[in-house]
Amino acid sequence: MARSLPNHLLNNLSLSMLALVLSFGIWHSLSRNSKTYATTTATIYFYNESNKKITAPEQLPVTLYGKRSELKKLLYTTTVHIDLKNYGAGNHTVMIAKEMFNVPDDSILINYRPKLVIDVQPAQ
Amino acid sequence: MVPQTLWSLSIFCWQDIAEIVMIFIGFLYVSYWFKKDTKKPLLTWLYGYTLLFLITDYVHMTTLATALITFAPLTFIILILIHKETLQKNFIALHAIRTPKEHETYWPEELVQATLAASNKNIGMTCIIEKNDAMAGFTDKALESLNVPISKDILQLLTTSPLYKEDQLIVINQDGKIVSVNDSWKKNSIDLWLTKELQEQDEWIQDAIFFTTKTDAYMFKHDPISRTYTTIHKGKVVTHVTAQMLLHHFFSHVGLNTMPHKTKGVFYGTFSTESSSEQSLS
Repeated sequence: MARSLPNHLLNNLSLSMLALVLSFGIWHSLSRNSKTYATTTATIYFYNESNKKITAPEQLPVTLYGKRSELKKLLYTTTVHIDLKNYGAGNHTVMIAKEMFNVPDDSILINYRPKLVIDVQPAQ
Repeated sequence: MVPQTLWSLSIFCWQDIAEIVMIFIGFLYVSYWFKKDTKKPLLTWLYGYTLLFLITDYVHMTTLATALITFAPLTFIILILIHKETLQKNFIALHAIRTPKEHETYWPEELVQATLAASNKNIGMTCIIEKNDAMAGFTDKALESLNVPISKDILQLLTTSPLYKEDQLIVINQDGKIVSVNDSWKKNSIDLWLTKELQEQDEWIQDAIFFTTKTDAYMFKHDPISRTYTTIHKGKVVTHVTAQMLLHHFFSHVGLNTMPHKTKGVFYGTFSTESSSEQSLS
């Protein structure tokens, strides 16, 4: 069967599609509560930035570990919040702490870039 | 890193894709096999069971979903068992069971041939064939029970081993199995005292006469130089026994079945017109 698997798939397309859907369903049901790793990008947000022109990357790559169902929710919603209250004009290296991420308690932040260089200038 | 479009399907890494592919291949293989059964709708039952599990899981009917996943292996085995191909195999097996023959050859002949082959290498063999009385109580075993069916090759392997001691015993049972090798007689002080009655004989003959009077065992020793045998049964010693005569002894003294009408190959036992001598413990 292994040798003629593509032919089998094409000749029994409906069966193959159904098998794929059911296989995915089984996998999804069984793996839903298991923990896994996921690499995504966190969007960087600044606050207390009034009258300041900021030049900085918009996103930061992060690796998360947690329940599959929780990780799914973090897609496009992982953010980092940086307070610019104490930053004057010039180049700054911002140290990013885990607390700055909006990651839920049952998910763990495994890996992220701890330093971020930003340029702050007075707004004209 | 997988495309983030797959995140909506809870697929986060390549391991997830690999898992799905493996489940898919297994599921597909089983599906094709079940589809071959035209007698019963096994494929429908499989898909129905899977669908029922997915629905109960999706609507959080946790007890039913857990029960379905717990009994899934059992259900799967039942489906396999009622598959027509398996049924056919069982049907055939039920009517065509054939007990494999343990010995395609006549083992006494193999034994005699092995002794003659050993004599070519100047190796002697002392064998004892136990009948109804087990020899376990009379011998010290060098090895735990072998229970190896006799064949010329096995005996050749044993006798050419550097661990083999030709003055020790090879114990064989009536079923044609080698029970043990390198056994020695278990002699206590009374036995030693009794065997002094036969001090004019070789020590092995003294022991053999003594122990064969106690048991119904049949013993023989092959002399590689004269290529004849000395047999001891019920305390009677017969010397200068030829290979052909030994085979007849197996029939008459040991109570083995009659010799096969047709034997493979050419028997190369030596025939002798010299009459054998007999003596016994008085």
